[in-house]
Amino acid sequence: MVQDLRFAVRQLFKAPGFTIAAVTVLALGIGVNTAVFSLVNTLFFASPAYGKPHEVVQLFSQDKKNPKKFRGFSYPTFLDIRKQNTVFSDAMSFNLSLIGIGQKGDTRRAFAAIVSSNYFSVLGVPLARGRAFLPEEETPGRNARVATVSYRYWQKQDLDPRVIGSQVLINGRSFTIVGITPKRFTGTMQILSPEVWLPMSVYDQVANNFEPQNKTAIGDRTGTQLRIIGRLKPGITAAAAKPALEGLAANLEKAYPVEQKDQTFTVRSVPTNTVSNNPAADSGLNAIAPLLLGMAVVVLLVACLNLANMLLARGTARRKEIAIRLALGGNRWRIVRQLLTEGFVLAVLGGAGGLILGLWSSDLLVGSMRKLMPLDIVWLTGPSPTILAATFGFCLLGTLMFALGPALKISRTTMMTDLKEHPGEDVVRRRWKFLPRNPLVVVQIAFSLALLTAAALFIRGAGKAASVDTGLKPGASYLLEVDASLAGYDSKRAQELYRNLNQRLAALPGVEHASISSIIPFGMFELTRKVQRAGLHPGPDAKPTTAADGLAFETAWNSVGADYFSTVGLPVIRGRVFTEAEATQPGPKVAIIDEVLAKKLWPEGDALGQRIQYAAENAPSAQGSGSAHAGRSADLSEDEKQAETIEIVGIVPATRHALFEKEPVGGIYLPFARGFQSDVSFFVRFHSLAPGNEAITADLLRRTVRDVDASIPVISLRTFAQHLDSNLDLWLVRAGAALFSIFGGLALGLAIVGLYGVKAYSVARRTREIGIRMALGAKPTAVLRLIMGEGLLMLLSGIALGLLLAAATGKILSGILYEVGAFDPIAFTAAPTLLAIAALIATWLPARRAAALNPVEALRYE
Amino acid sequence: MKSTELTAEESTNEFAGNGATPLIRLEGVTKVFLTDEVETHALSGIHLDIREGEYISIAGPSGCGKTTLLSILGLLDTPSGGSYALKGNEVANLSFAERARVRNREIGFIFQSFNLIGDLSVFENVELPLTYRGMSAGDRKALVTEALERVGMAHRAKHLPSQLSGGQQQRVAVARALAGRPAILLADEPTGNLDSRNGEAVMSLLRELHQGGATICMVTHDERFAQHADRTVHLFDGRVVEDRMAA
Ligand SMILES: Nc1ncnc2c1ncn2[C@@H]1O[C@H](COP(=O)(O)OP(=O)(O)OP(=O)(O)O)[C@@H](O)[C@H]1O
Ligand SMILES: [Mg+2]
Repeated sequence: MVQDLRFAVRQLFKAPGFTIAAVTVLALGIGVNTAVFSLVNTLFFASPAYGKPHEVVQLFSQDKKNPKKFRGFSYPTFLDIRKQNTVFSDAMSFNLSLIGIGQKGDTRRAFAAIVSSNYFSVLGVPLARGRAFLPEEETPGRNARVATVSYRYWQKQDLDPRVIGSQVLINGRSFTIVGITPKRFTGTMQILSPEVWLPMSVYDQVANNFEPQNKTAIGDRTGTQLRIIGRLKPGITAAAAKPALEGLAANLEKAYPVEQKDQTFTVRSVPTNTVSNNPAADSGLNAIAPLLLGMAVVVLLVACLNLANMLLARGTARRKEIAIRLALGGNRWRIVRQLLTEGFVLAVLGGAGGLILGLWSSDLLVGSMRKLMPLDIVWLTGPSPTILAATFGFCLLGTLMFALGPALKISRTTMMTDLKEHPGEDVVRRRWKFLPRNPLVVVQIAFSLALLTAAALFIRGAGKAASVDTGLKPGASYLLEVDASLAGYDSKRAQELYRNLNQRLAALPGVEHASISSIIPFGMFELTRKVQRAGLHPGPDAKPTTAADGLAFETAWNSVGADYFSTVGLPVIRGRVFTEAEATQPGPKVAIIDEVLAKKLWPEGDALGQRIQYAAENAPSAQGSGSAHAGRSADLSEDEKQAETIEIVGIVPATRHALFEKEPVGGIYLPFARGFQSDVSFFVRFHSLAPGNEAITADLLRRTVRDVDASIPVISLRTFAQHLDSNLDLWLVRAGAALFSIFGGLALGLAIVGLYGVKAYSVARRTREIGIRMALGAKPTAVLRLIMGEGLLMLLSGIALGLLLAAATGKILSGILYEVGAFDPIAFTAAPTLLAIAALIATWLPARRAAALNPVEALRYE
Repeated sequence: MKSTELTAEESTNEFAGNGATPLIRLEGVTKVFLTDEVETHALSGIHLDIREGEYISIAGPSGCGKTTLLSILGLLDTPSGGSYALKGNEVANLSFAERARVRNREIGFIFQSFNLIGDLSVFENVELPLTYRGMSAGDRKALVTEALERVGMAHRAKHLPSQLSGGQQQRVAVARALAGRPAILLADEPTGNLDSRNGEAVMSLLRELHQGGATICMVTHDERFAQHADRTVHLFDGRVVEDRMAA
């Protein structure tokens, strides 16, 4: 064996060109797999960085009448469950909140987990430094200003040990850092980690605006703010816990018939990609994992086919050597073993290259993600044992895939012909001459076409996504996002501040219009509300089918300033815009709706001047909101109780609210004063924006905010075009396109190199034959045709097979494509065309060389 | 530089300029190979006429330029100097494609190492030059069958070259060379890879062809086979040193 290995290494050293080509091809194939695997592994399969994760489950509160409906828990309910359950050794509760962290000028947005004091102990996570929260720091009303920070936060402070005990500003308030989480810990999700953990007692101060429906105080039993995660007692399975938890739910419903109505409890594994009340929330992403892995494996397959081809070609050249070995009495198994050993050495070298390539490229991917996410991304680079094992697995798989076939085939050669024939002459009678000479190349072409088509579909989607029409025409506008609550403002003061800021922005030189807006289309958040015609209250069991019967419609909600519609270029079709007074002071209840909602609510009549109301959460509503986003229900703020009705004073054109919106959902606009949000954006529309002045303009806008109150953090500032371009959904579509382009490009490159190699090798091997043909009177064009013709046959069979594969791939991908059909004609034309052009060049080059051969020399060629 | 020797060679070429236009006329043909700054004068001022129906054997020691001469005659290679007229037409200025056309119609090659295409059957090998001629399938079949019958290989038409003995392969190669009825058959040591019995068989085949009217120009080391020809040309160091008719 050692001898085999030594011989293999010597063989590879003897053919450095071959070795380099083979290792490169393998490194690419294995690299893609390592990259995708490390990402998918971390996202979906890696065990979470907490103790005995198999015992840890999330508890879900499920509606018995509507089993698809889940909700969170209130803090009192959590306490009851923690105390009364018989299945958990302990249970903790938490929620995520968006906070502003840092000093005035450079406040940035970050996620905080607001947690019960036993959070870390239930997860079995010892802190890297400091202490866990104390039970009294959990008690509502205690307002314990302490925080635990992430390891990355600590890293940003250069791992200064004095971080413990130091202060961190959160939403403008000072917190004392008491703990630091371990390096690998990312909370309950993978990769995406909160940056700080805060005790439950500060809930009401910190979780102020992120989920406005949860305005209920933390101590209120009607709340649904919290998720519960429990550690099952040793030996108790999720299934075994079920009856006990259902019994507990029944008891709680008896004790609190209103708050716990129809709620039952169930446990599932903790979702690792979301924080959600719904156990199915992960499934969307989960579907992508096998897809990514599948695509990557196809790239490896193409790489391996490519290599198999190279080995076959090399084997043909070494046939005489092998025939002599056989003639000298070597047995076939020894020769197969020798060839496999050579393959394995190649695979290990390729694997090492692939590992480096893979880790580097996944870092790149994570880096691009980090720029867009307000969440801290904890991505530990460097090979973990799992990744190393996986890479080694890919090497083994690769060896089998690329080396076994050729080894068997080469070692089977009949000694006689090989010792007799001219080396390189193909003596096999090919029974099916109309079939292409090299099926491996055909398969490579087919697979790469499938990947290329997938890439084309994604690129088409990305193109459409990037140029999607929002319906807004904000011209030369900047978007300025601020959140006064991060500086400790309450809503009343914030309202005042925003009015002031709006006036100042509008008065800036060159500014045409400026208006506040709580929601920006294509932003990170959407709010939705159910609305129905005023005065209708169908019971929960009623099944209204029309708006006239009280059918409610889920609709996109926004609250805006008086000048909003002229700022964003939305003409008022009928009626009027809000007055300055309406926009800035709570006054009569008025709303502007878009045409879509108007049509839904009053299909025949005129919506203008009519009255509507918010429908109850559980009101029967029309299905299919069309929005893929988990829209949050908008705030039922202060005096806006259901009984009060709202007058429609204007109708505007429909706009698009999110990239992944399939059909317009309809929208409702309230005056900002009636729909206050602390996190707001100002559209500042300039007459024109001279290119090159961005820095000056941005500075002007920042200065304006600072002049109003220097403590107000500017969360983001960019042009509307930049905003659209940095949309997370668009990133997703683009990342998909980029990823598949890489897959497709790699596969294409490999297949083309494979095709070229096969053709070049075949021309070299057939030099003598070409010489003979020339001697017999073949014109250069005939030689060109001969070589091209065979290449063309491979290409056409590859494309035919590839189109079938591509159709299947398109079908699989259709669910995640952005507004592109699974059989998009452009993608299905562009991909084969690109492939064909590349393939034709790859065959033309050797064919041209063949046609230019000197017949005398060709005849002498051995 | 070697002009003095040219005249000397001219005198040995008794047949030059006699009678009707010869099939082939070489005048002062030279061939110089340049490799690694070394000039090899493979042919130096060859004068040679070949008339229709002649059977010429070319002899000479190894490296004297026999193969080079045959390559030039067969339009596989171009001379460095001098002129070459085939059927009275100068071939120097022909394009690649035209040379291929002339090779295809006027020349039949027989090689020492047979040079059959391993991938093609016996029939297909013989058919190949006819295919390049753009002949219809029916005509090709007739000619191929005729040629294979002539060399006694018709019963092996469907075999692959690797399934034949060396002598059989060479007979197929002869069939391929003559199938298109070329003006001249060029054979470079056709018996070189054969044992004497098979060699005899191929030589008598060539003899028969010659008797049937074929023009043959053959390189051979073997004195016995050289005697089959009507005329023997001796080369030495790229020059014709003797050119005599058989007794
Ligand atoms: N392509 C070439 N490049 C360089 N030199 C060449 C080339 N072909 C032939 N020669 C040289 O030209 C001379 C004549 O070669 P040629 O093959 O014609 O000899 P030959 O008479 O056929 O010999 P043999 O009887 O051994 O076949 C030799 O010295 C040879 O080395
Ligand atoms: Mg020779």
